[in-house]
Amino acid sequence: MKGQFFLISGVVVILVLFLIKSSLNLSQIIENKRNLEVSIERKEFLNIKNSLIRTVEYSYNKNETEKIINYINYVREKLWGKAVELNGILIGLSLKNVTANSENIMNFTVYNFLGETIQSLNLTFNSSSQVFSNVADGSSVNGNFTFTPSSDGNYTLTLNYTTKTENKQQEIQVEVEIGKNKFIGFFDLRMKSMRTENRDEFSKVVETS
Amino acid sequence: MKGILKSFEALIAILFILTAYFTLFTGEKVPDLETVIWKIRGFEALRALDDLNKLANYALANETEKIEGELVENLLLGLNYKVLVCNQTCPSLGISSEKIASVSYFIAGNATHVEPREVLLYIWRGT
Repeated sequence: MKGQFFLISGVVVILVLFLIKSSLNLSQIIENKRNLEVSIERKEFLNIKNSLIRTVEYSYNKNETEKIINYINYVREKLWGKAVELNGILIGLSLKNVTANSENIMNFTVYNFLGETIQSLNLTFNSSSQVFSNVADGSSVNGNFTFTPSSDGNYTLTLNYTTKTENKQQEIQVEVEIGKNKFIGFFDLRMKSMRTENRDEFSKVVETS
Repeated sequence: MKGILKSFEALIAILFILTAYFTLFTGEKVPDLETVIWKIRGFEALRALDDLNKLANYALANETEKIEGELVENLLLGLNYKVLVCNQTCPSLGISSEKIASVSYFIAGNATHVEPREVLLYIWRGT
């Protein structure tokens, strides 16, 4: 009987090990870890977005579009080294000293960082259009539109673009105020990693002098 | 004879336990949640410093020790920290630890210097 005590104790220990194992829900732990990692990536995406907005604010009267593109390229390169893709499109609009009842100019820059070539790009503003083709990843196109406002009002810039993987139309509201200078930055920002994809469309308006 | 039998039974019991243990616990590796929690705490600590408008100024001046000093209050005790500020390239870091986490935080610069920087925070246990 005394010798069997070892065997009985062994069986008890094995039962305890089974109980420990069954209480340790590995799949739940793995899922929790994944959720935490996804939440970190969301935080990182929001950090990049907020810093982009700050770049627009800080670039006040300092060649806004160039500073924004510099920021995008910098972050993109850093993320690339971590197997994370930062893609998107930037539309920068600049309105200088808007005057009522006279012809005004709105300069625009479209920066493609979608990760692929834009095959065709069409911008429409105030009933006139401009068309571009083969805008490579990491390159931009510039141009301007003219308009004659009689008072403060809203205009719409319509952007249509086609790439190998998407065909998209985007409408951007442009609030025109007589006597004011403005820079409007519109962004479609996408961050893709092996775990998840974050995406946001947003704009930032700053009054310039 | 009884002594030999007892020893034999004890040996069988030990073999059963070891077999059960290795079968149950060595096949799957329990995921490491600790480093993920370090990353979250580290990121939040950097964000708090950024919200106070201090991070960008320190990063532009490459004052990494000041950043580390400010972060200590918000980070876990018993861990080691190192902050690096990256311009176009990141300085190299020689840490040898089995458990290490790194957090990346981007800043836009400030009102006078619109220059992006990446602030890298390394968190690890051990020397």
